This record gives sequence, C-alpha cells and structure tokens, in this order.
Amino acid sequence: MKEFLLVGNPNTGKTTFFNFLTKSTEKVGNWHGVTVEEKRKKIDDESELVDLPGIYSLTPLSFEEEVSVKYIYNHKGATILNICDMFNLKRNLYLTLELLEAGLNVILVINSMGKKCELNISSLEKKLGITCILFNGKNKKEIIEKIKNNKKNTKKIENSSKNNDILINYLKNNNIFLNFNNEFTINKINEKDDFFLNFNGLEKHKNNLYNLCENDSLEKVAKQRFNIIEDITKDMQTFSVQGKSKIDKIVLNKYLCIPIFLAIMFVIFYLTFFSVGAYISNILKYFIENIVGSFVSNIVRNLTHEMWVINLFEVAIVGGLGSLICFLPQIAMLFMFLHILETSGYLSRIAFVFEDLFSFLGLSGKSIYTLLMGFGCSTSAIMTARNMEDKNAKIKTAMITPYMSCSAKLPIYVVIGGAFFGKFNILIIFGLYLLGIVMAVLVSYILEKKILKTKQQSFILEFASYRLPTLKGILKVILENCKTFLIKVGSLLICMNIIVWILQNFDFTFTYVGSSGNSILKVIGEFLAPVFIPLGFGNYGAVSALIAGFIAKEIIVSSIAMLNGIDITKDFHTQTQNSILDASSVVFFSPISAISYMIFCLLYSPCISSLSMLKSEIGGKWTLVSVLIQLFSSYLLCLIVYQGLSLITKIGVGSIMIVIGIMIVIFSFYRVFKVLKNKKCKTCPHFSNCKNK
Amino acid sequence: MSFLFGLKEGTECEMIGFSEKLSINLKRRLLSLGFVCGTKIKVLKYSLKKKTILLELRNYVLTVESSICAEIKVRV
Repeated sequence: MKEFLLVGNPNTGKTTFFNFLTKSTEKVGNWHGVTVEEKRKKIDDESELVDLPGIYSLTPLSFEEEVSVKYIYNHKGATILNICDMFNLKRNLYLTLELLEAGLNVILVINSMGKKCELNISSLEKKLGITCILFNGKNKKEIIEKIKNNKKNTKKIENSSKNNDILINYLKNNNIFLNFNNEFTINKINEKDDFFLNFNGLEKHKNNLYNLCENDSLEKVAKQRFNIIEDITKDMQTFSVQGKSKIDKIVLNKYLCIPIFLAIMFVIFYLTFFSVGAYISNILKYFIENIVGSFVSNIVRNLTHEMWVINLFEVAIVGGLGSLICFLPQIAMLFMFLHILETSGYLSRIAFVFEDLFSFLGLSGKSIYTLLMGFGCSTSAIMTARNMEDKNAKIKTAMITPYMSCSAKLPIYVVIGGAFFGKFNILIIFGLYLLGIVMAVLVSYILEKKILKTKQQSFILEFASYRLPTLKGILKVILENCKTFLIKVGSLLICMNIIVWILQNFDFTFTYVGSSGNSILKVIGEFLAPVFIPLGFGNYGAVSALIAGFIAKEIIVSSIAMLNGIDITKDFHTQTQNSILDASSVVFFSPISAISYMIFCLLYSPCISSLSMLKSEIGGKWTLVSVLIQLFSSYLLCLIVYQGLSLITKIGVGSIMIVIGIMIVIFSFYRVFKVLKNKKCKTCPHFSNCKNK
Repeated sequence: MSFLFGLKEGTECEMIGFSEKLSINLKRRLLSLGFVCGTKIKVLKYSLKKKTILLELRNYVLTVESSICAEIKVRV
C-alpha cells in the first residue's frame, strides 16, 4: 500500500484536502491545531492518505507537532503531500525546503482557498524541481492522477554552512551513519535540534557537535532558507496581508472586545436553548409523543402481553430514545454555532483578547478553543488541549474543561429547572453555565498557585483570515454531529437504560419486583442516599440517576423519567417535569434542592468517555486528582448553596440582612481598633522589629 | 537599537537579532515563522494588559507574547 502523508503549516487546509480526496467528514476549522493526531483513510485499493497535525518546521515544540515529525521520520519512504496556503506561500515554503533537505519525496499542493489562482505553478515547479499541484476543491481526478504518477524527486538543496566539513568529519570519525543525508543532518546540528539528535541516538555526541557549531548557526540556517525562498518567489504575485481586517478595529477594540464576545455568546445561547432550538425541539417532541411513541407502543402491545417486556420496551428503549431525540435540535444548533465560530477566524481573535486573563490563571490564550469546545462535548474538547506547548498549561486546561457545561447536561437543566422555575429557567441555566466558568477559573487559579505552576509560556499564534462559513459546510457539520450523537450516545443510552431498568426492576435474586419493590438500584441508592441528605436530595431516585450519570450525563434525565415510570406514549416532557414536582414520586425536589441537584450534576464528575480521554492525555494521577477535586468542590458548593438558601428561606431575608449588618459593624470596629493600636505602637522604639504589628 | 516590546502601535521596524536570554526553542520557532535579520515588522496592537502583541510581518499577522517581543532586537 502506497502511503501519502499530508504535511504542512497549521491552518493551511490539510484536513479539507484529506476530506476532499477520501470523501471523509473529518473536522475542519479556520484555526491552528484542529487536527491533533494522525488520521488515515484509503484513497483507493492501492494508496492511503495520512492526515498529520500541522507543523512549522521539522523541530517540534508541542506534543501534536512531535506526533507529526516522528511519523515523517519513521515513514521516509512515503510521499509527502506538502500543503501550502497560496496567500502565505513564502512562509509555508520554509517547511517545504526542510522536507527537501531531508531527501524526502515531496509534492507541493497549493491550496487556493477557493479563490482564483494567479500563481504561475509551472514556473514554481521548475524552480523547486518537484511536482506542484493546485488544489481548488474541484480537480480531484487530476490531483489523484498527478500524485500517483509522481516520480521520486531528486532535487538537492545545497548547504553552504562553513562548518560542513568539520561536522562531516566528526560524524565519520565516530562511525556515525544516519539515515538522513549530510545536508539535512548538518542543518539540524547547526539548528541545535535536540529532538533530531535524540531520535537518531546521538545524545552522547550532542555537546561535542554543538561545540563545533558557530554561535549564530541557527540564525544562519534560517536566513539561508529564506534567501532561497526569496529567490524562488521573487517574480511571483504578492497578496494582501493575511489575517488583517478592518473588522478587527471593532472586534479587538479594548472597550468593545469583551462585550462583543459576551454578546455573541449570549445570542448563541439564546438562539440554541430558548428560541429557535426550543421551537424545533417542541415540534419534534410533538411528533415523537403523538405519532412515533403511540405507534411503537401499539405494535409492542399487539405482539406480547408480558407486562415486563412491554415495560422494558416502552420505558427503557423508546423512552430513553425519546428523551434523547427531543434535545437533538439544541445539540445540532450548538455544534452549528461552534462550527461558525471556528471557521470564521474569530477564535484567534478571542485567544488574543483572553491571553491576558488566561496567563494570570496559568493557561494559554489557546485554551479558549478547548474550553469553548467543552460546551459541546468534553471528550473531544480535552483532546484539543494537545496544542499547548507547556505541559502544565495543558494539564490544567484538560482538568478544567469538564467544568464547562457540556451539551449532555442541558436536558437536566431544562427538565428539572423547567419544572420549578418555568420561564425564569433561562436565568437558572445561564447562571449554571456561568458557575461552571467561575469554578474553572477558581480551580485553575488554585492549581497555578499551589500545584501546577506554568513555566515560561510561549504564546505565538497566527491570525486566521476571516472567512464566511459555507452553507454546505454548516449542513455537513450538523448532520455529522447529529449522526454521531444519535449513534454513539443513542446506543450507549439504550444499553444503559436497559441496565438501569434491570437494576430498577429486579432484586438481588434476579426476581422481577417492578419499580415499587426492593430493587437492586433502590438498595444501592438507599445505601448512598444519606450522604446527600445535607445537599437536599437524599433520596434513592436522585442518587441512582447520579450513579447512572457517571456512564453518560445524557441518561440522568431518562433515568429520572424511568424511575418515575414515565410513559413515552404521552407527554414525556411534561410528565417528567410533573413527576419531579410530585412529592409522592420516587424522585422529589424542592426548588432549592433542585438548584443544588443541578449544580451537583454540573460539577460532580465527567462521564466515563471523558475520564478515559483525560487519562490518555494527562495520565492516571492527574485524572484522579481532577475527579477528586470535582467531587469535593461539587459537594462543598451544593452544601453551601442548599444550607445557605434553606437558612434564608427559614429565617427570612430580613434576618439575614441584620446578621450581615452586625458582621459589617463588628468588622469595622475591629479595623478601627487595629489602626488605633498601630498608631499607638508607632511611638514604641521596638515598632520596626515587632512581630505583632 | 531597541526592542520590539515597547514600540508604539503602528510603528514599523526592521529586525536585527535576538537577545541572549531567549530560549533556543523559541528562537527556532520564531525563525521558522520568518523572524530573521532584515525582516520588516509592524506593531499593530497591544492586548488589554500588554501581555501579547499583534504583529505584521512577511505578509501575515500573528500574536506574540510581550515577554518574547522584549527579547527581539529591532531598528526603527
């Protein structure tokens, strides 16, 4: 199988090219670091395409860059499709030259970014001595033909370093034979590239080799490459400055930047959860409840009279799926807006605006992407933390991502909050999202100050040009994400619902006892419930749903519904809300305990898939720390909220104000007393050395 | 000679080198991004607390942390 590697600077359209050739639907975005691991797919029976994370040079700085460079070094026989942005060709060619120096078989693919190409491709081909292809999103056949018929290039980049002979002699005298040609090896030594030397097992010779280099050898190598690039591109057309726009005068204005960001987030939030999203959700709900639910239920009842089978089917399977589908429009809209933000180029502006605040928390401006993605799905968001150069910043970003309220938690707020707070639930939901952000900031600040101090951060980020997302792209993202959500979450949800249903309807001897008997879930829930009494939801139903939520947050609501015996053939949504309000039902909340429960759901622990992703990205130790912090902070916060609000309602707001007033008076007296004492002390000869001042 | 950090917004300058304090990894990254001697750089904007700077060079725009810019020698 012939292998083609997609290599290029970040945000040059590698994944777009990958999707174009392989008919894939891999995630693309107008932002650096969208691809964080290798992805492969066959072009046809004979050839395979590998998409690699973006790199600026063959010397990696972050983990994702290491993935790419290692892959290139380990697959030297593969053909490299070096993707370059037509508008940024001069800078992109730096990597091309390095690849050519390494003696790799390179084909240059120039991405015209959907615009008309005004470059002289054949002239470039002649000057570089390699095959150059124009990629405009239309010429698939031509591209496949060219890359398959490409002959190995023999282009040699001359090395004019003064210490060529000295270094070659050193390598020869020490019997060092590398798999790379001399020109590349010498450049890498002159660049003092530890990664290259370690990869080739030259750690022992590192210092000796570096001593043979000139002080400014690194600068000389780069200058030499840029001189070659200038020579190649001197007759070529120049384009307007990339990433510069008049819009930035408003978007990056120091007084407007944050209000604009908050306004955009609020509009997204409102459209997704309360207007368009909610409207489509209601239509879908009506369809499922009145048409699909009744239809399926009738079929099952006609097929069997076994009550437990009917119950299993209606409650666990159809009920679970019904609850999932009702929230599909909102999830689709959330992903659509995330896609628009990603492709528009606005994300790099947000990163620039937030770098000040984030660096104070020991994070990078790049963290904003991971955290925003966290509002969609924590699992995929955690993975994007890879593009951070600093390990501690990466760990912190990954650890605080689960605090961002993911889309799976939304149904919990809508159903439980809706039951108690009606139209005011928008404020509760907005507050919960805000609370997640505040908790993330707090945790990150504590980690930065106490455990995970960030080392020297190197925030260097290329500004993406503004682009209008295409309707096709938006529809593709919506369809893909809905499909994934339905298949992955739906299958998990059905499995989990069946398990929860079995636990709820069978006892430890596996005898069918129904939801009113002493089922396994009831026994476990009742055993754990006392722990949650101080938080206001010490009943087995609520606790059992939390246990199920460890698997996936999506099933908390359906578990609550199931534990209340909701019938999917009738109004599922209203029934669930009514049952939550019903004091005689299994799960019952008061408005205060409902708030406490929602806060606990927001903070207590990420789902299993997020945990496994956390483990693979930051290791088992930090995953455990992360879960413990989340469990502890959620318990503590819920305790404060529930007990505090209960106290206020018991003794009244007026009494609380009196207590606060008395405390302010006492504190003021204390401060005045201290100031007076200090004044008196200043006359004391031992004042300067006094330990009690 | 002056350093990139500290120049007023809108100032155009020419790069003349790096200070010794800059780590080799950062130097290598900056070089691959086109920060070589003789490159024309324009300071576009500072972030709210001047933690990062928006720069224009070689026909593109990028943000670089101020502490890094403080190690880039330029001639105005």
